[in-house]
Amino acid sequence: MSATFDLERLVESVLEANGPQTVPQVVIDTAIIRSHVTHQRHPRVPLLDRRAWPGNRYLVDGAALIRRPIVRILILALIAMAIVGLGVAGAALLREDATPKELQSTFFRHFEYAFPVDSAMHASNNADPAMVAWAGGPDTWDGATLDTEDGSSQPHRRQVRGVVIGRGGETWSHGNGGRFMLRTPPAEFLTDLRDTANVPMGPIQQTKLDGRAALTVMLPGTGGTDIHVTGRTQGLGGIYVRVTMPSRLIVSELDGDTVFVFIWARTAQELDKWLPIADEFVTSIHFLPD
Amino acid sequence: MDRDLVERAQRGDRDAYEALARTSARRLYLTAYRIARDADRAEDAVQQALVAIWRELPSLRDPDRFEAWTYRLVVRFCLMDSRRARRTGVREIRIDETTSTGSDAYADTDLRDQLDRALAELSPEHRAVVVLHHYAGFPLAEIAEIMGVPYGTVGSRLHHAMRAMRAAITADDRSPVVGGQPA
Repeated sequence: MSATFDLERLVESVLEANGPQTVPQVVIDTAIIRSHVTHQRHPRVPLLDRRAWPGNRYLVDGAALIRRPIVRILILALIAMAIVGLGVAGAALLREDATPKELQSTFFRHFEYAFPVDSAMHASNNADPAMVAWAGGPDTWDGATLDTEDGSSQPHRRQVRGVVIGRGGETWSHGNGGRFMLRTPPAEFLTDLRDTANVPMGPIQQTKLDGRAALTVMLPGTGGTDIHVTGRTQGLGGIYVRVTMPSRLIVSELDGDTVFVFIWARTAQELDKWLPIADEFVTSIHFLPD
Repeated sequence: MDRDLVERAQRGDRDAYEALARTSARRLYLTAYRIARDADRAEDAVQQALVAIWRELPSLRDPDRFEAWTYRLVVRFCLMDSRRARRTGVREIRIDETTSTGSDAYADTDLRDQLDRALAELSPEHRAVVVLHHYAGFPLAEIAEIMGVPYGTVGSRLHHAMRAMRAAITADDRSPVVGGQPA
């Protein structure tokens, strides 16, 4: 043996020589028999097949390259959602702290609400299960007659602006030479007002009331009549609200009951200033479970 | 390897698969034996690999790479078995049932025994790299693909394996030459 040698050639030589040169036939036969009771695995999404080989430029070692970014994106999305969730929850808590909730328990469906900051809103003192109201400030219009000073009857006499919330279940109005019942689904409620009671109104649009689907419409206040929430179509008129002022009407269905919100002001200019505040007030409303 | 045969087997053709299994078994077994250094373990690894070839063939993206893919399978089963043996405390005891051709210029029995013992002392992962490179003839980049490890890892394993074997031989007062040049 030479004193020097090529290690690599020696390794190759030893590996070649030291070991069997044939495979036992039983190994092949057994494997083939086992394969007969084995199903082939067909990946549903070949691109994402973890066992696929070889990798390509999009995939390294069985889709690792594509799966890793997907996993990272999912983790980042979860973190982002958690942060947003915490932010929303925190903001809600802060909002609750900043604006204490009021409880309206006279209306047929109890609800919570909050007065907008510096709005000077105050509740009417003649609330009814069928209608509740708030006035939008201390100013009143004392010089007018009862029917025109506040543009309405109960429950917000002599005020300049306000919000009325009424039960729409058994409401009626005037039209076709007599009283008629307004249909309760929000869309029919509004079209009856428009087409039968001849209340002038703009286009009907979709909105939300306490997270529920609702319809809304602007009333120019250039005519119209009133909505009665009690009294039926025979006998006394009961509680009603006149819809002859510039206003916004929102109608929604609340677990089978129709509810309408009437945001009004004495003039169109007053309404323009009043709507942002009133909208904030309406947005704060949360109906409580029965 | 016949690409058509591979594609037919991928589509579930059992005859095609059996033809592939019969032609692949020898090279897989010879390689598995040299990694596992035990006939029973090599047989187990090859049987598992042959069944896996049938089961996983649809996952082979490039039928032309069939041969390398089968090495990947058999090496994986060899290493899995070695790890299992290490966990259960099984110690390999080599029974020399090899045949020596003794036909080359490196037939010095002592030197070969020394080198064979050094091979046996390598970890299965290091030995697999040596076997795939110096016996099966794969380049390092392809070994990296077969074993599913980075290229640098393969290079490092081969380097350390060769150094260990060289050390084993030089301890016997010999003068190894790398690449035919005096060290």
